[in-house]
Amino acid sequence: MLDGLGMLLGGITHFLTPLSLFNIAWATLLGIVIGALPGLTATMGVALLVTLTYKMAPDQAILCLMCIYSGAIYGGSRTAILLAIPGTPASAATTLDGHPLALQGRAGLAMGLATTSSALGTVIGIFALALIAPLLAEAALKFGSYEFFWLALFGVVISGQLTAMDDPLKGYIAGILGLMVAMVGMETLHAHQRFTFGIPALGGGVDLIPAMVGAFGFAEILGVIKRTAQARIVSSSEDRVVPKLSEILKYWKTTMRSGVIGTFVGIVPGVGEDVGAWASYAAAKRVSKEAHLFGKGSQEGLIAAETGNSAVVPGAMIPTLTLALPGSAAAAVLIAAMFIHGIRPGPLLMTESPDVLYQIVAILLFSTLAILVFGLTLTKPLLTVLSVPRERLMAVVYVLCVVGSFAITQRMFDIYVMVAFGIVGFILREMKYPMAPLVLGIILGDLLDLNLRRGLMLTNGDPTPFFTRPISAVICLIIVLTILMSIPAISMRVRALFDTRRAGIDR
Amino acid sequence: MTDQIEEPAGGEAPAMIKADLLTSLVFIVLSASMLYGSWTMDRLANRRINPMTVPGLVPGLLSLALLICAIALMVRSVRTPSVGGWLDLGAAVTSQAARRAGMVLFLALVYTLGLVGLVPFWLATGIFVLAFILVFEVWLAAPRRTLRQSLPWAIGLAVATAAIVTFVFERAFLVRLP
Amino acid sequence: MNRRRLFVLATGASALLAGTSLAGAQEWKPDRPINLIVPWGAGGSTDQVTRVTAPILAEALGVDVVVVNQPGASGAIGTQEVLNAPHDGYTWTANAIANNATYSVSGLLEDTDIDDWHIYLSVANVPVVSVPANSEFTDFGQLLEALKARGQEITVATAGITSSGGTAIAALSDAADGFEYNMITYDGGGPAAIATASGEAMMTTQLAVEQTELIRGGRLKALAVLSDQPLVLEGVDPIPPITEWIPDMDLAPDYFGIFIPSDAPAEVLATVDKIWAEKVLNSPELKTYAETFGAVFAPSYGAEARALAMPVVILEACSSVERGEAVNDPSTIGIDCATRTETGL
Repeated sequence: MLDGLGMLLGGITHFLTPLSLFNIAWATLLGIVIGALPGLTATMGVALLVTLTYKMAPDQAILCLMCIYSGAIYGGSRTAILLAIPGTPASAATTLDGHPLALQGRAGLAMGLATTSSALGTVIGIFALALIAPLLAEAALKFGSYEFFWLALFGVVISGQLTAMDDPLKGYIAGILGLMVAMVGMETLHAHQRFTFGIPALGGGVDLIPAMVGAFGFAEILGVIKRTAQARIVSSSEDRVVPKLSEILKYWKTTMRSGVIGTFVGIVPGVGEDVGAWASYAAAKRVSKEAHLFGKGSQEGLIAAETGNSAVVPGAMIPTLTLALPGSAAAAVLIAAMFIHGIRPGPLLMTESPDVLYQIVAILLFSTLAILVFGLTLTKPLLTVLSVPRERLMAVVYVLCVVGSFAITQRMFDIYVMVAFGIVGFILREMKYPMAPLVLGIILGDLLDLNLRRGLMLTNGDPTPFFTRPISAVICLIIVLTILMSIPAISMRVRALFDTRRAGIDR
Repeated sequence: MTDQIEEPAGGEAPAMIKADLLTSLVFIVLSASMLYGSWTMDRLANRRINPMTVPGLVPGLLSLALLICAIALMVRSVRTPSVGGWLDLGAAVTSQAARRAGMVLFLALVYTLGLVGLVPFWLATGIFVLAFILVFEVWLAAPRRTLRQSLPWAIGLAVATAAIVTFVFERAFLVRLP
Repeated sequence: MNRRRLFVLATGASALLAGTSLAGAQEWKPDRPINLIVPWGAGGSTDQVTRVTAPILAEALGVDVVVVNQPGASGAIGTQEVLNAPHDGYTWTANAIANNATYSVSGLLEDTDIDDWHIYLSVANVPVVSVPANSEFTDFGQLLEALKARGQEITVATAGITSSGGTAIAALSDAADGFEYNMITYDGGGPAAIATASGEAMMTTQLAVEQTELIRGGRLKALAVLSDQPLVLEGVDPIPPITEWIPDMDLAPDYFGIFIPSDAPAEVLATVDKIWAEKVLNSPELKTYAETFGAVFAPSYGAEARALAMPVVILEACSSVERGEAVNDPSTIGIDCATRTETGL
């Protein structure tokens, strides 16, 4: 333990050089910009920088890559709050409450809270990384196909819950549509083409990024321009960027819970920041006393989403470093980059070069600090975006949507996907269908389909393990309870039961 | 604002209910055809795969689920009284606001499907931004601006966007633009 | 008249040069970044080796070589993009040759074969048969007996029928009188190895490079390598060759490399040929990569690379026919499966 603390201090002092601080500054800032541009993701940012940092010293290269990674996950919240267009899939959940806050003239506060929440989320994840990394990685290995299936199903149920306030039926329809979109393309279990209608480009399926940029971005542009007499968003005089300490502390339970959820989602290979944000958001909504405010500008919802996605970053580093298993897509690229620089993550890392782990911890701490500094100082100038006439702004935003959906795979097909999802998304939004379950459905569709059938394949068609494996059984139980509790008659009785009990104790 | 489908207290707007009826029919057709597609999908019997793992399993289940939801939506919208719903809906799709959305769509489609790929990306982008701003500030705006007011802004922004986007993506992010 | 003589001289000289070697061709100086399309996901085995190779080429060429991941349809989508792009030497692809050269047999792409590409190979990867650390099987002989006796019960984790692991288990079955097995497909070689380590699947036949860390960490027990040489991995006992149990097995190492459309300008190919000969052939980075990840460092280019690659292409094409997956007969790309030789078109 003391050894660890010493090495952590060593790691921190290692990066207290002018060159390192300079690298931290520009890399984090570049990460924030990449994250804020719709379509450019953290994975793409890291992959790009691998090429550019090749000639750097190993520690400096990894420093830049990690800073880009955490900067990008945070940066997505900027456009999510200001324009309701998530910069990366990780901040799709942030739009739900971040943008309504901006519409209420509190964009500054929303961006400030997003900044502090991101920082706190990373710190919670860092604790897990520094203290119990190997143990946690072991737990993640227990997640097999059966468990992933239940997790995906849980996500689908959550997506219905997320929108239960307005019109659950439309929420479920949007979620199912998203899942259906994920069915298009070659399924990897038997390499069979589904619903591709002979179009070769559809063989790879519909990519999440262009679909999301379309459903949130282009659809939002259509919606904004359609409404002529919309009051311009003006920052109210009460709005400020640096949140009060009381505002941060008020929801400390949500912060802690979201941090833990995000970290765990990060550890589990195969799911990333987007799922971390949704899971934290849904959990917060489930237990919140102010659940009715969620989706209408709830600070708690914003905090949950931003803490949840940022905690995934250090969480994902846990299996990456200790087992050489990437905990997220960006971490997979990081492994490749580490190898290029002669760092070999894996089970032997802790014995061969334990200082690497603590250097990574130190890097994450520094990038968190950089995010805080940039986040709180650069927000004021960002607010001027809101005062630009929207006719002018939206023209530029559409250009970014086009470039963003093209940038990742550099195929024209992805631009067409973006346009198609924009049009369909616009029509659905006009009829009050929520976009969040649609996007969540696209994320979860593959997970649900492949893991269900893979599980059945493993047992030659016998579904018992889905119910008898311990973790599976627990998640299954939670899903059943969630569904039961969403039926008003049952939840009322349960609550009544608890109330009488508590009353009994009080007496 | 004829199209703003406001929710009156205690129920949905009549136009929305009619729109729901239409979409429920669309969803029923969609789910039924997807169900058919899943049912007739190759079961890969020649590869002797387990019948529980056929590719059509999950799509089939999903289309069933959508079918149920769509029928529920249809029943709900048929049962809810909605006087004058069709007229309101018709007014909504032909309103000035709908025309503005249609114009965005038209400009966006010309830009993405026509210009991009035909002319260099920076030129396409410049033309799009210029046209977009002029159309929505000079022509389809509520308080219209004069051409003289808008043009400098439009040109400036068009040039700036085209230059910055092209430069940043091609030089800094090494993306080969279309 | 003077001019005419000059012209004759010039053609004569260039013909002479072309006859001896391409080294004298004009050197290519790229003026913008090169896109190297990896038709698989970021962090996979193709992506990893490509990201090690790309900086070497970038340094020699003096421009960035940007690795772009375009996954989908077993790599067919990204490969199609490269074929569609202008063949001006600025768009390359990286892949396993067994995949790249058989897309028209598997029906994923139309009308393409190995001769559409100028081939640069860097490493060869070998599949390793591994079981979970606590498995009932302690050597390959036991596992083979179990596969023959109750194959349907043995679950084999791979990245799909067309993947290296899928081909490997099919080849094993062919060599051992066609035993049955229950193949479970994962989203890549890495996830397949993880699933085996966690005990979800009973064995895996993915590439060594995808299993090394798990083998070193004692989570996977490597039973045999599909090669005629033992595989030496730093930190663990040498992995015995499959030929100890199945002596007459058809073996063909799967080569990974970079492919440039063969009708790209001649100076492009000549320049990259030169870089491959001077830089890649003795690259310490690639050597270390190969040594640590259980790959074989085997760089080659041009005609030599094509000759080395052909056995695995033939094996892949013909076994897809036997598995009933081939859409087009291998004879359409000049391969005769009766004799397992290349006949040409």
